[in-house]
Amino acid sequence: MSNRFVYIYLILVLIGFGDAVYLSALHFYQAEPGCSLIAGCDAVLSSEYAVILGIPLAYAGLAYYLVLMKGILLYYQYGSPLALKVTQVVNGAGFIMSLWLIYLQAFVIYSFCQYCLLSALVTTSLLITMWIGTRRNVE
Amino acid sequence: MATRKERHQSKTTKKSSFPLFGILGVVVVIIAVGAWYYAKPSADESATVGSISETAEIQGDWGMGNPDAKLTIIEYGDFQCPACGFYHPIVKELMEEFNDDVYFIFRHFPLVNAHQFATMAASAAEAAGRQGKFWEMHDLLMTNQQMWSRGMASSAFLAYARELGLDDVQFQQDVRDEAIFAKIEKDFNSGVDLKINSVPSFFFNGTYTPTPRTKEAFRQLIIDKLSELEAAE
Repeated sequence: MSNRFVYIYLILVLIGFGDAVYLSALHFYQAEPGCSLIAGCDAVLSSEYAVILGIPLAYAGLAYYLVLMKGILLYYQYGSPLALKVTQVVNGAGFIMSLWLIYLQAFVIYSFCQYCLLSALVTTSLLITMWIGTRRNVE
Repeated sequence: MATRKERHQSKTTKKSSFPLFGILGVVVVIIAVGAWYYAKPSADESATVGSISETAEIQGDWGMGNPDAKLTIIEYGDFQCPACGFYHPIVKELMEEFNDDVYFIFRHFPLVNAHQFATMAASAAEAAGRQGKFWEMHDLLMTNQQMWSRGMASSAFLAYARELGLDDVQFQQDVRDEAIFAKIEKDFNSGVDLKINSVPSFFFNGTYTPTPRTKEAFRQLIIDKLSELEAAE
């Protein structure tokens, strides 16, 4: 993966990281659940699906972006194929998780959390960047 | 095993990445602090929402409990809002417990941009209210929120009306009645005047009160308010 793609990847990770910090802070402060005129519904954040195996999803998201950041930096710094592989696997797992969460929002909870959707968008963009970046590398 | 050349290259890469790491570190800290600060609830959030004066009663307000109670709780709600659906069983249970001490009023605040069936649901409740079954319809709408939110809302509302033994024809006429829409709009506008920015919003004796997260916290809040009012006498 060329440096250009690493930078794009890193910027996307930073956006996701900011989003995850925001969601974690909301969880931490236990902001009032409700449907807002501007931001829509936060019901997703206060739903039973916001915690999996006792871990709040917002915190898991934060850890996820930090792992991606560490992984891509290790790859950038040392060119470690293992770091790239781990980043790819974690990114892929994050993408599957995002799909599951979108399904829950659309068909189970019937309410979208905009910042959760942003995270799903970032994860998808990360996967595409990784795919294009590594494909070019192979070529 | 890396050759000397590879090791040299790796060392060079590592060195050249130092400015990037420095910038990245700063950016990460700025993003973290910024996002955290952005999410932090403002300490004085309740101050931005107005208060309801005692004279601001809206004609046709739907109330339950004891109208002469010392404590009146007004909820601004939207039948299609999942958070309102979440609080519905909580409020219902608490009203059973505090039926003599609290008067509970529900006002419509349909978020039409987010919830396409919210106004229709509000008019169904109002139409049922004309036949004396507002709260029964209110309960059905809230309890089955997830079902009718998927679509076919109007036929679901008609089915609820039948379930409640309402006059079909009358109900179908009433749900389209301009006077009912005017009442919903009046409720909504009163909420806008109060600068409500989310639903459900609860007002305890006219004062906006941040929504407690759990039933227990809600219960405690009512107990505290009641003892506060008792002590003030």
